[in-house]
Amino acid sequence: MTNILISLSDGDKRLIFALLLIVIILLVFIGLLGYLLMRIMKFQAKKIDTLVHDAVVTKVVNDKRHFIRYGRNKNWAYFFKQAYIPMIIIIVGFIVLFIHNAIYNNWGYNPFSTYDGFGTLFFTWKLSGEYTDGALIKFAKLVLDNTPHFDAIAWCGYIFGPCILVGGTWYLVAASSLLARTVLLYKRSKTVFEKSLDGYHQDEAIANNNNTNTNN
Amino acid sequence: MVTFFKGLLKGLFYVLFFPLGLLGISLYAVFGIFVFIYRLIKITILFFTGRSLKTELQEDEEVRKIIEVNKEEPTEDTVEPALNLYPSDQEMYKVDDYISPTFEDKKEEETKVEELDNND
Repeated sequence: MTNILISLSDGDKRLIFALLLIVIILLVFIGLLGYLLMRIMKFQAKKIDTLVHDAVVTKVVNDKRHFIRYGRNKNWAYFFKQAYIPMIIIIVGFIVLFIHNAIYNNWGYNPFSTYDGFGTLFFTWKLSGEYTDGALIKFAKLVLDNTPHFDAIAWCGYIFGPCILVGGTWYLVAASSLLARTVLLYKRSKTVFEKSLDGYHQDEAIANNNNTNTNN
Repeated sequence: MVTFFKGLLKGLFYVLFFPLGLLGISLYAVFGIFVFIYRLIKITILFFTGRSLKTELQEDEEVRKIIEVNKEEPTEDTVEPALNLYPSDQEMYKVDDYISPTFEDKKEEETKVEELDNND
């Protein structure tokens, strides 16, 4: 172990330190994303209460199985309502792609290409084939492949890309809310019809009943 | 120290939860596409056969009827046993074995009060 550390050059040590830092930052970032996702899903889940509230309070639904069945139906119906706009956006994107491919007779077209697609609007890098100096660790060097620019030939990518990104994200939000509602529905099904005997004593209850009857 | 470890555990939980949550969402998203297509086909068929697109559940219909009955002012002829949707606190926390004071109890209490007043 000591031999390996001695044989490491200054550059290697710096690289290892940088890598460790990146891993820590990445873990923190993923943790924060997880926290955010959890909070959002908890917020989204509350909708199921609104959806099933009236049926439970009016006792139209009065057992666990019926509650789950009814809740599931309402949940999917609400998902359909939430998801139809993003679905339409995604379908429009695919229709544009289909029209483009039919016009240019190019069925292998990549709408995210950096040459004639949505990728022209972003910085991209590629591997150069050269490596960094280092006694033990060597990294492949990257060279800039594309700088953001507008190209008329990529019109289809400019429509298809945003459609898929916006529609896809919107649809994923709807799906996450569907999942969150399903989880809460099953949690509620365990508690809504729960009967508790905490603090209940049968003899006391009978005695109290007898007292009431004699007084009346 | 305990707070630190709690925070650390929470962080680890969120790190683990994120990929699992994403996996769950993706599975639901894929499943959702199939359900979406199924419902779309169902609605299209309903539309072209001239039937109503309203897919109201039977339970919703029953709930609507009960709520309507509750809204209406009950007359003497048509008193329906409508459910009380929003019970008061008194009704909510009603204790079944509560013994209401009898006429004699009340009378006794009143005499005690009167005696106290006379003493003053």
